[in-house]
Amino acid sequence: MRGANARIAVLLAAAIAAAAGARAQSGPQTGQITVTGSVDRMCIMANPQVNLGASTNIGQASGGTVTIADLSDDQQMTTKSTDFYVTLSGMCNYSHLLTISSDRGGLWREPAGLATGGFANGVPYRATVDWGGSETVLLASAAGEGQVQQTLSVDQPVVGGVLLHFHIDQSATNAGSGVPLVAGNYDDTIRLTLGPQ
Amino acid sequence: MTNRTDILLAACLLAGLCGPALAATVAAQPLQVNGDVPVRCKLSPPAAGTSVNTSFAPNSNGGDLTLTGLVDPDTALTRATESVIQIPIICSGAYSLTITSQGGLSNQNASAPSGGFATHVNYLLSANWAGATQSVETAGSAVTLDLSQSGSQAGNLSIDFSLPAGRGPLVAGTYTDEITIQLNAQ
Repeated sequence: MRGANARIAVLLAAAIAAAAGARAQSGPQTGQITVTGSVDRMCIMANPQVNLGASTNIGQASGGTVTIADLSDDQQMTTKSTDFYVTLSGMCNYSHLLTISSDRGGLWREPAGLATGGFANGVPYRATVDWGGSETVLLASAAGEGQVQQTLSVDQPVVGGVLLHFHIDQSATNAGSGVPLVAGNYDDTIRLTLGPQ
Repeated sequence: MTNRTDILLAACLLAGLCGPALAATVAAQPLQVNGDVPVRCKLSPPAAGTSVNTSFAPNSNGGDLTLTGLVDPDTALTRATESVIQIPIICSGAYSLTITSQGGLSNQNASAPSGGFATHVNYLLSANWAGATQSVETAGSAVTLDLSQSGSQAGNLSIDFSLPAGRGPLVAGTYTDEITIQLNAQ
């Protein structure tokens, strides 16, 4: 478009020169060029960066995956308290909506349906998001397996970091506080989205 | 179209945010969280249940079951004796659970049986766990009850020691056996 704008300017100059040659003008001559541009509404968000230094009970963080070191307490055999912090650099140039969702509504054993009496197979957690000076909290209560989500409406453009704090309470399970967890692998996927309101 | 791409790239570079998540109007990032719960087992201190002619004293390693009247003092024949011991157990996954007797009650200090008196007496050992019961009568050599399971379980392991009346007569002395409960996560 900049190339196109330049060609328009040359054509206008040639036209003015041709007009001057055909008929001389004694008064001042004026021309007007209107330049218009537009910026699309856009949001961008970088890959999550886990702050391992401030975390507790985290084994490793790689790419978009965080692995909890030991989900159960070795003495009580119930859920072990866990915290980690994630930053995702982001930008939205318009009033927008931040959405945080959980695919399974808690950390569920994979597959979930194998708990026997006296054991739990789901772990509730809380994900708190700070963005643009506002906060929202997603409660993945593990009350039942299924997607849950929370939104945060932001009425201004924002550049900065989406700050996520993931927290699991000590002894929290889907079968009550302190219930032992059945052995296995537990997982969930948290999705952060910046988009139109 | 070329101009729009230029603007997007410029914004990306200025903000230092260039990456695979680059999007025109919507940005999304997934974060997967996972954790593992290993198979763990816990054996809690035992407690005495039903008791006939016995007393049970738990300790840090299990407990001591004392037969308070092993034989009839007039005949030296065994008296009916029974003890049920409850042991809380919890395992979060597959495990092996075995109860092993060394083979019966033996008088380690006595010489060979003589004069019609015995130095060894067998008893009945039974274990109930997770809805299953296994029983055996000792016969002089080690014997094991296997109550292993492939899934998580929590409850009380019930061990029933039973000595019928009329066995013997027994030589004077102390009779002992050792019952070992072994629980291993798998």
